Amino acid sequence: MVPKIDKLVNVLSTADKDVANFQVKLYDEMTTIEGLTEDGMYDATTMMATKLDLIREFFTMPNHHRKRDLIMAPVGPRSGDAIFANVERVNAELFTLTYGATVRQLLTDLEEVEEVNKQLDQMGYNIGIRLIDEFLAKSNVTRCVDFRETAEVIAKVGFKMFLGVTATVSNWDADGTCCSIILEDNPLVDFVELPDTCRGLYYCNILSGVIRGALEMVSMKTEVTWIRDVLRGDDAYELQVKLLKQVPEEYPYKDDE
Amino acid sequence: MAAIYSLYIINKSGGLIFYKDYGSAGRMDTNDSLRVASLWHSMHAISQQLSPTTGCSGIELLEADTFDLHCFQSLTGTKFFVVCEPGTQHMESLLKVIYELYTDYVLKNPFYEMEMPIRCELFDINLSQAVQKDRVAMLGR
Amino acid sequence: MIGVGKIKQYSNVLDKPLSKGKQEVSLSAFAFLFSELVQYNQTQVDNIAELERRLEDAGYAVGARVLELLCHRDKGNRRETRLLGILSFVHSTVWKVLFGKVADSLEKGTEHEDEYMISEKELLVNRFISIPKDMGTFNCGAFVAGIVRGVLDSAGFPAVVTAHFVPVEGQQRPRTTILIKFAEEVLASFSLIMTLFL
Repeated sequence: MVPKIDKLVNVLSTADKDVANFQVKLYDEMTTIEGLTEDGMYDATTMMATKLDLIREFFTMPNHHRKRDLIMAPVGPRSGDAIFANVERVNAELFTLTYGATVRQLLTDLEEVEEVNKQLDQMGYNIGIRLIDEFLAKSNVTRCVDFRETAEVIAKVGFKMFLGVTATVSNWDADGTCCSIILEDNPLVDFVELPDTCRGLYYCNILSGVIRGALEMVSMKTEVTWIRDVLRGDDAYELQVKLLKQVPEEYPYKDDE
Repeated sequence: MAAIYSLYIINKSGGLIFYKDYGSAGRMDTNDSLRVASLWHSMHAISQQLSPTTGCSGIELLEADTFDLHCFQSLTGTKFFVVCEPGTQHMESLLKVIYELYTDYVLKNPFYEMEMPIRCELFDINLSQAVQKDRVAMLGR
Repeated sequence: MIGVGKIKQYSNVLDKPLSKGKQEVSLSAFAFLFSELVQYNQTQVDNIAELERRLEDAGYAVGARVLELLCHRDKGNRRETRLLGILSFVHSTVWKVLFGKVADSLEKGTEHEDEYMISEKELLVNRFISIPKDMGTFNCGAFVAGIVRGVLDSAGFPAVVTAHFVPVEGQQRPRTTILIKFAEEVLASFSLIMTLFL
């Protein structure tokens, strides 16, 4: 904070004298913004050079706001890696432990493991119907041509941009409506061992709910089930996603309404 | 610098969930804003059906004598639209930014109920920053 | 206690390359999870005080585990035994690991001998959260208060920890202060040690 304020004072005191000098300083500050292109920096610097109030605000603005205001939304879909590299991230342990605390709370509240599985799925669904918009906004993904593309996008872009892990799609059925998403890495389960009392627990059931909820918001009714779960002794995390119904995109006014 | 008159967000069933008036021109009372929202919702839908292009996603820009209306509809069916002075630039980028603000400060707020009117202080604060004229100009570089 | 989420033994943690604490997820993933945790807990309570308590409980579970984790990883299984040591451990080490930065400030209460305050301009968990007017002074930072209590309690410094919004002059948004009030026995043993030293 302190060096930035120093810079600001410098900038303001020289403002009237030397616009060029001014731009250099601004430009330096711009180079600290991850993801801003050369052209973008140049344009933004020129744009701001004569606007003192804007500059004042720029220098006191947190970095994530700068990013939001200065980086133009790219056209066309972005890769999961590119998005993940540019979004704000937190230590996975905060996430893992918070999820652990959530599961623990459910086990205490609901007692029955089966009920916990249901509740986790419901919570995932609740997250999914909200998270889909962020996914669409950040990924620039447009409507997928078919369910195959949808599954690929979930695995390659969705898992990466939120959890920082990649997943693969396999085991397609003949008509392309059912497949498996296999997780190579799963940040939900670090430090977790299931005790004997929780044998029937699908610890990561929130994930299946998220997929179901997110897809429902873009008109796809799906059924998502766990096929393999490392915590239950399998060798991978495998989710089966089955397309039940594609609700047509028609306008929801019916003749009888 | 051209001016933005108002901003609307309507949910997928056509309900007005957010309305904000900027400045005096084109100011409307609540009833009128609700009317505009539901009218636009229907018109947008009709335009989709009438369009000769297959897979048309509806009107993006309506140009009138006294205003322009720019509309962005997310794949989830939420519509964001601004009414502004004719010829105002960079409104598509602004709508995109507003969509992102919505995903941050509305959808991640545990006290926001889906499809209901938006009353989130942080959304208001960040929105007014985004709408500031200079910012809009920056976005359109 | 049910053992879900329990931390594996030291050797196992070391075995896994991921558990160096360098792996990241998007802030959004955490924000959506936290938001859902708050929403779920809202369905389980009748009033705001209960909601606060439940979020604090959830945080406590996180705090207790964070202490284990950090003691194993960073301190060669040595635990902090001094009051100021553990406070600065929370303010710097714990904060840095969980929230990516050291807390803005750690201060001693001016009115009460047994109170300490950790303040943050904008708590990570509150980044996207606007509290509705009808919820008054409720602060989702109760979860973070719980984390702090979890760490302190597990380290042998039982305390009552609460989260409060504090208005800041010239700022649109209030900051959050985590108020730590140590249990009597902690202060008693602390002053005993001080007496021995002085």
